[in-house]
Amino acid sequence: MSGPAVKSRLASFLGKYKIIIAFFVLALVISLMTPNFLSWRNIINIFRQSSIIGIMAIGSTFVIIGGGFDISVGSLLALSAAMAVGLQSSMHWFLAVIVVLLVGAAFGAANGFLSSKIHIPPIIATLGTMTIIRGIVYMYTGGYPLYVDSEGFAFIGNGYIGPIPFPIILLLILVALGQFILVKTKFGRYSCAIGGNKEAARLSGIKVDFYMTLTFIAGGVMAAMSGVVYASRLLSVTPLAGQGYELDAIASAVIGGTSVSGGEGSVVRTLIGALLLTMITNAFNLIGIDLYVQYVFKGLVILAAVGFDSFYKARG
Amino acid sequence: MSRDTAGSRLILEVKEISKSFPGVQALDRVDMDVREGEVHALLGENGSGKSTLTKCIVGAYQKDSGTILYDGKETSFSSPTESFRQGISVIYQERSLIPKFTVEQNIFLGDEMQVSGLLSEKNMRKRFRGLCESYGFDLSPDEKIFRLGVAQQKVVEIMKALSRNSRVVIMDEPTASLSKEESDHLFKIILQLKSKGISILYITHILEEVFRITDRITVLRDGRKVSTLNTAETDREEIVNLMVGEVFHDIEDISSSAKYDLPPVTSVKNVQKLPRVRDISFEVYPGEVLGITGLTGSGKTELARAIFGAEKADSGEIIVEGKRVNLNSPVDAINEGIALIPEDRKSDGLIMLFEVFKNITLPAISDFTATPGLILTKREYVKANEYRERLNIRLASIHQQTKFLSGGNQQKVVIAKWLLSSPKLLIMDEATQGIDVKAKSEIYSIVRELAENGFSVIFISSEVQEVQRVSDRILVIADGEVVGEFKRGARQDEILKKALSGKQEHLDNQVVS
Repeated sequence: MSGPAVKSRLASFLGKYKIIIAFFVLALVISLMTPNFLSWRNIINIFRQSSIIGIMAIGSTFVIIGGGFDISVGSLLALSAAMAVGLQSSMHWFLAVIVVLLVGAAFGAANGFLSSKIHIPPIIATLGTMTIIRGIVYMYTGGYPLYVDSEGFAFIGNGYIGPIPFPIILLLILVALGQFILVKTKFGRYSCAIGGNKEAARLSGIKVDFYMTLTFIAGGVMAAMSGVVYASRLLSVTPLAGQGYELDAIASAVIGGTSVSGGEGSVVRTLIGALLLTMITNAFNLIGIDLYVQYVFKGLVILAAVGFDSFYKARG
Repeated sequence: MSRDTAGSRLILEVKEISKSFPGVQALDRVDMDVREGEVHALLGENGSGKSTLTKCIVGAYQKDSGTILYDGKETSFSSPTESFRQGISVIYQERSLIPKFTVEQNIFLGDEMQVSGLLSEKNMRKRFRGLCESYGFDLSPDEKIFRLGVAQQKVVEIMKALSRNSRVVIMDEPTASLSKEESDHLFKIILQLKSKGISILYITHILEEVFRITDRITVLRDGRKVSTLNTAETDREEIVNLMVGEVFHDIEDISSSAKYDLPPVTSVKNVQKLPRVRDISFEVYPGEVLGITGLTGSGKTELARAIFGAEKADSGEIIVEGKRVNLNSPVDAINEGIALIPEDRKSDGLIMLFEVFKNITLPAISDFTATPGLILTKREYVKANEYRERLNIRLASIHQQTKFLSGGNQQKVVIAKWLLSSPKLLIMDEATQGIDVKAKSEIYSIVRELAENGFSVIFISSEVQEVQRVSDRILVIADGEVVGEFKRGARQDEILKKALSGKQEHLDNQVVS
């Protein structure tokens, strides 16, 4: 094998597994610095703290792979959480959750329609819906926090199955399901094709607009699901909930190696991206480093992850 | 500055330039020179080396050997930017202006006039007016480029060249998308430049223009210079013969499997897709390979895309097996059994990030799915491997990323992906572009084999020789219309003449009407 071939193989190997390598290296370094880090309690803690962003990021992964972008999911989390709480005054909590997921799907469809049919660049289309949805949250809540007291509903965010908190189990199930859909179904294959080369996909007979919209619907449903977990965990929702979450979700996906230009990605690696972000916060808290420094460090991690890919892509 | 035997001053001299690419000798010891203040035509078929030669001159490619003298001094430009600064500019076919900038902003882009670090609109306006006066241009400096017609945009590019004091302007098919009036206007400008001592190297396919405005003609063929002639001392016949060279009659005998007694698989009736496709009608029969050839820009690709529904035709009918069909999108065409292998496999044909097998099964993925949308990967592997063997696709494994394959193998992947869905009609647009000789002949065999198995193929190419080689029947397209039809075995020079003269006839008709 020639030199360049070895090099490109190495680059593609590192590209695929660098996040996993980085994850374990970082975990090792942190555990040497803080003895509590590797305790069962702390590990469970990291997973649970990752669950809301993690669920949201599953959707973001689909959207980005399909060549889109969705920054409305933070607002959608707030609306879903508020409705999940609010609707329970008139219906069973389970029914409320179903309604909330449908609302998420509807806003996802709207985002997909604006991006694919009206041809608004996705980041701008979802900037618009982000603002609209946040407005609806204020209208729905009247600007005040909402509270709920329902044992069944509280289980989603606070329950345990055996020693493991339910949100973690939910997260892992959804990650597995997402990964399965991405790799094993026509929808997953088409999403990658559209993000990889929209025109070639169109000329292959793929209904590009339809499948792109489906990725946004997946994004909306996952955002709604994360809103349900959020509401259940806190049993209350303020109109400000979820602000900035969309950025963490996107960061998880790209740190996990989802190509920003679309076509490539993995839900499992997105999960690791989300865990990595939480781990940084967690470790900094354990060590007792200032919150402000954490932001700088997180930013550097994002730049390092995306920079690696972009640099190698540009060099061919 | 040196002079030639006729005593004319030479601005550009190219001596024994050679350039090769892997597997191809693109230029073989080419000599040519350009006199000061002349319009010099550079002619040759596709692949004869015209664009490689100009790229070597301006430094877009680095020549393997030979020398270039510019203004009497040996030069070797490292990039087109450098040659542009030194006074050799190129006006490319594809426009290179910024649409949202004004005329003046485009002209001075990269060479803005400044006074103490700030842009000096006043100085630039003065220089702009100066250019307009001395060359007789009439353009508003504040007009945005996207509001201008194609011809006016060419003028802006010429002004940009002049603003850097260009002494040689290379024009690559400048009239390709111009109307007759616009072309006339351009010719006036060219003569104006000439009278100011500026030299023009004029690349074109249209012989009428050559005889109208050029002083000398250099003909290239297969990377070699055939001859340089004074335009006044030659004629169309001689030039065509020089371009085509010896005509080979070694077209192998193939047994045609076309069934002309059966109803056509597809009829195309009066299809129009402006500006490139004006009015095209033809039939394709079962088991037939229909070749379509014509010059670059004659409308071949646009025709293919219209039949496939990639771009909806303005008007006309497409009839598949006796039934009129509406092809509004590729999905419709595929449902009718029509497939397209697009001209540009990288941007339109393949998903480069995908593993090879995913590209192969993409259009027919529903054949590999059980229950709602679940892909049966094992069956995909089997099918992909079957086609890999059948088409002799050379790769390490079907799990390789498509981008790591050679051009010829990538093209075979595109063919495989469409064969898998067994289309009734396969349209191949420039299917052998940029691939090596061996892969080319393999693709010809595949095409013939398809016809023998009863499929129909439309084989589109601007290389007449390969169209002759695979086709049962050949249509020649010029300027968006069918201008000739040939049976298998027609002479290459006759076909080429038709292709070359097509545009001229069309222009004549315009004058009459």
